[in-house]
Amino acid sequence: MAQLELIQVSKDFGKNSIIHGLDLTVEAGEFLVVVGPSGCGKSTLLRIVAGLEPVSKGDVRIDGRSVTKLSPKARGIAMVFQNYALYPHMSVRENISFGLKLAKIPDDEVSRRVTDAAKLLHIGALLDRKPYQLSGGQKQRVAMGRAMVRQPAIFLFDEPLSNLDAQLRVQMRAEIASLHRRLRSTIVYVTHDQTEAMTLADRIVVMRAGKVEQIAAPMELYRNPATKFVASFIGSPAMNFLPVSVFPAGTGMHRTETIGFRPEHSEFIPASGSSRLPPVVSGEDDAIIVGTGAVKLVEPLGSVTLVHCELAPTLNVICEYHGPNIPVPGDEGFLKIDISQLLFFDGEGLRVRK
Amino acid sequence: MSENSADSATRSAWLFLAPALFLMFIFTVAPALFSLILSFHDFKPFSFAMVPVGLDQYMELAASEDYRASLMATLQFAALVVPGSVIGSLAVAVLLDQTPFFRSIFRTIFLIPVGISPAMAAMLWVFLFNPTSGFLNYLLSMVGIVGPAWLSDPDWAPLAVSLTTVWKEVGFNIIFLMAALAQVPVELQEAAWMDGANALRRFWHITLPSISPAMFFVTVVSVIHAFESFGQIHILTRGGPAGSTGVLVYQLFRDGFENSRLGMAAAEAVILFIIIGAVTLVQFFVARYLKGAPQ
Repeated sequence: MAQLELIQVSKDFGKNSIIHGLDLTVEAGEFLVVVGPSGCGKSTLLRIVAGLEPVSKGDVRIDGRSVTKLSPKARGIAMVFQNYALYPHMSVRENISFGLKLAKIPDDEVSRRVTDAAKLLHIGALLDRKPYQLSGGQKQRVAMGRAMVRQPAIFLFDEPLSNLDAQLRVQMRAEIASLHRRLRSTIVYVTHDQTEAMTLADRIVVMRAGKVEQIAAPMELYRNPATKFVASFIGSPAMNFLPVSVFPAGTGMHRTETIGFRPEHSEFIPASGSSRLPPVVSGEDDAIIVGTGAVKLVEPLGSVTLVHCELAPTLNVICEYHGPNIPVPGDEGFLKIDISQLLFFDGEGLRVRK
Repeated sequence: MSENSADSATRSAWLFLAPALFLMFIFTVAPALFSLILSFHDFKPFSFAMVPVGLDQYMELAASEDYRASLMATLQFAALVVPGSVIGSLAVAVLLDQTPFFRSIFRTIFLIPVGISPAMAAMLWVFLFNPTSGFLNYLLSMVGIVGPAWLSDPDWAPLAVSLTTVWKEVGFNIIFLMAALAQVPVELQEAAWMDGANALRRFWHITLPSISPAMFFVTVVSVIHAFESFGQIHILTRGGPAGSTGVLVYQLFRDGFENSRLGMAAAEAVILFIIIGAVTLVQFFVARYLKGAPQ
């Protein structure tokens, strides 16, 4: 368990700048998840921490000590790779103990640690198999076991669940979470899956084009995104955005902003009969009604129904529907939005606090 | 597909294969079968008299001091050539794999000797090995060493012939080893690096086991090539001096075309066929075993 600091870290590949002056502190015992779209530099960031990639500028510190110039093995870090990277010609036991053997740890200590890790990860029966005889989930466990036995100060996970099928991913996600609760180790976990980020993280770092957009606890990130990008990246289905014109009092000018609202803060209200007038909303002062929309797609999820509406050509929103008669594509209706949950973003995509 | 059209597909396949099969039969299968028959006969060229002698020629070979010496020369030759060309090509392949620039240029340069005919290559080395005017001894003299008579000293001739053969074979092996090296996943190297393995350990524990099927293939092919070598030996030493480079194929050539004992030469060819066949079988089964454990 150790604290990790990145100070003004930059990484260039030739003329391409991948990471620009990034500052980040991961507290001891913290589970930090780095999310972002492909190519945002999150994997490069992890490789820099691991020591597999040198920094172009800046400093990496573990417990206050600079490790920037140290080789991977001297950093006391273990990494779980996306493709598991199990040694194909070694048995599970040899895979897990390889690092310990190289470190010349006594045999009885090695076998004790391997047994402990195997028990924790439920792979005790697989120790004499070769990697090709394992399923994806089992390989994942072995890769985690190999990282665990070295008792590293920091664990790095590089999209560890992306090669697993959906059901197994949910299961392994829960196991990683419980493993962290038990070991209380510092973890830096890279993923592009925002569900993994939300469910696993103590704090989430949202990265975009080599920069940190926002660092916050999952629900804080969900409720108070600092930028339109974060708002759109976190949450599924994604937040709705509508362009609006703002007329500040007394200026006579107007500017374009964007309002954002989540599907669960908006509701589809079917137009009744031939009436084109919006239904009267009584006693709900905090709601607004937005003009008519045509239903494009309906997704009944059981507990809720998601309705995709076209407010105008190329302007689509997703809202919830709670009524008994599920609408069908082509239906018309109105959009009721909870004003208290509206978020405003300026032309640059930065949050405007009202 | 109905049975009829499957039948006609098979028939047209045979039709398309027929010319190639015909040529193969005429130039490969038939001579091989004829050699087998010949090995049980005493056959004099020019008179075309085939006298059946049963296993006599095989018995004679089994008892022959010369033939045993030739077998030993072949084994010695293989013992020098196989490790030389396998380890040499592995070293070059690893170096080229780590070289970001000019990789394909160097690969081509190393491949050139493979394309040259053995006789041409050997002529080149005859000049290099010349004890008085050769470049090799000139280089040695620069560091104060008086070079040996490479091709006429029985102690040095096997080495000289092996050196030429290694030089000629290395490029062939490099192609296979480089292809195998390129397929070793980078993450494996990185995982081992994080596990604390230095470059040497990574090579030993990760790279070498990962390319073991290619290493095995290259070794077996080198063994087969060593047993089949003739051209460079014929040009460089003619099997001499004192029989030190008189390998099996050279002995065969001498019996068949110098001593005009074609039946005897055929018997030697059959024995050589059995030796190479055995090596190939080992290769076949081990390769299948290695494949059975997918990476």
